[in-house]
Amino acid sequence: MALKSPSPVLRGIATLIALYGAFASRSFWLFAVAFGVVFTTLLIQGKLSSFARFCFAVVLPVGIGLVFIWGFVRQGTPDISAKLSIQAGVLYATITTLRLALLGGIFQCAFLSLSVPKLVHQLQSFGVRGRMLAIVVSTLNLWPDFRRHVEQIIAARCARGLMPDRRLLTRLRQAPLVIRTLFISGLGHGLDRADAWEAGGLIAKLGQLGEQASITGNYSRMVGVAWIFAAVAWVTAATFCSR
Amino acid sequence: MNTNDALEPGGSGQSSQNAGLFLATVPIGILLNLGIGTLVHLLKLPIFLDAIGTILVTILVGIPAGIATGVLSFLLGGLLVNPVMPYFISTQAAIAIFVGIMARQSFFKSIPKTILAGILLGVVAAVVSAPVIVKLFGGITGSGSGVVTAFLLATGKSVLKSVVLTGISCEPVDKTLQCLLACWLLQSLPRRINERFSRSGYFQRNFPSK
Repeated sequence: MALKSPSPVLRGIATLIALYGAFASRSFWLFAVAFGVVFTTLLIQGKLSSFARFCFAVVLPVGIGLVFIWGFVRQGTPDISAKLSIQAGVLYATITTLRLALLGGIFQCAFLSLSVPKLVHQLQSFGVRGRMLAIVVSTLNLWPDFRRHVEQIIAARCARGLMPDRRLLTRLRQAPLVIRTLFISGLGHGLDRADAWEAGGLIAKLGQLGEQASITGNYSRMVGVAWIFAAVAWVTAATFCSR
Repeated sequence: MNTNDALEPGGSGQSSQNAGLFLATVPIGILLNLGIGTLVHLLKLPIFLDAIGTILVTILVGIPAGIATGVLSFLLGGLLVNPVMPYFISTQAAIAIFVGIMARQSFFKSIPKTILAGILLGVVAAVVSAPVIVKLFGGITGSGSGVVTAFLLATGKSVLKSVVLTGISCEPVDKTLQCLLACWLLQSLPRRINERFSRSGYFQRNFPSK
């Protein structure tokens, strides 16, 4: 059975409230509860690996840097009047790192699992329509092509003898030339694509895709209210239990 | 008023032509921002190079298209690359507005003026992004510039002052590089393409010989 999801407006409101709660929270217990909810949600959505990648690639390096700087260099918090100690610095660094991970996790929970039609409907409900919507959808579709195109340009430069090898340093030296080729060819294709979209009425069809998602979107008001309730409970606890 | 019409720099007269350019350039700008920015972040270089697309689109099509490029880049970047990117959309909007103002004054016509525009853009970006870095990251973003912040914090400066000073010391180099790279890319445009941009944005004003 397909899981029901909250309507776009309720999803947006619940996300904003939850993000505010993440900023307000200073308690380890509250972070533990919030991470429990985030982990479970991402696990159900099948997106836990994306969150793990974010934690290892972004949060971990920032966390190590913060612990080093606030714990051992500054030995305290940004509050100049507070007493200096390694413990206070490490505590501040840990809470900042947890908050960063939670902010990312909440964003991923709310939007990462959305299918393209649902994302289109979500954006439409935020007032993104017409050509702006076409830009978002075309960017999402172009991203894999763009990465493939980079490889093609590098392969072509190698084949013509313009690039002696594929080592990282060589790739870096070649980067401006690759970017130039990518930009010119991308812009040329973009102009052709825009003309075709305008002529073929694809922008109107995109609007219909969003409307279709709203009909067959499996939205549930109850789930939306539950999201709002959970977000309000979280922000209340974060505000009052962190004092 | 239609949202799309409001985003077109030429107003309703050139609406159809500008709408096509908007639709063609903004996705490319977004992909350049995300692609190059991700590469630089992964290599842990003390620069960002995450606004080249914003600068290019602003010069080619105008400030609204530049703002759309920057803001959408960082919103989509939140989904595709790094979920904390959306918190920096104000910096991208500021970059588009500032580049638009500089381009209107033909600051990208010569290399010395481009360098000056890049330095000033760096200061603007540093000031706008500092509060986000302090509030969200506690002063360290995980990029190479964190070392400079650490040094300044060790000298006893406040976190906001350290982040602003780090930004002012690193961002002008980064933004000057981006402005120079953007100008080089725009100068490489073939005639077939640049003719399409002759009446939009600030392209003709800054590259009159093209």
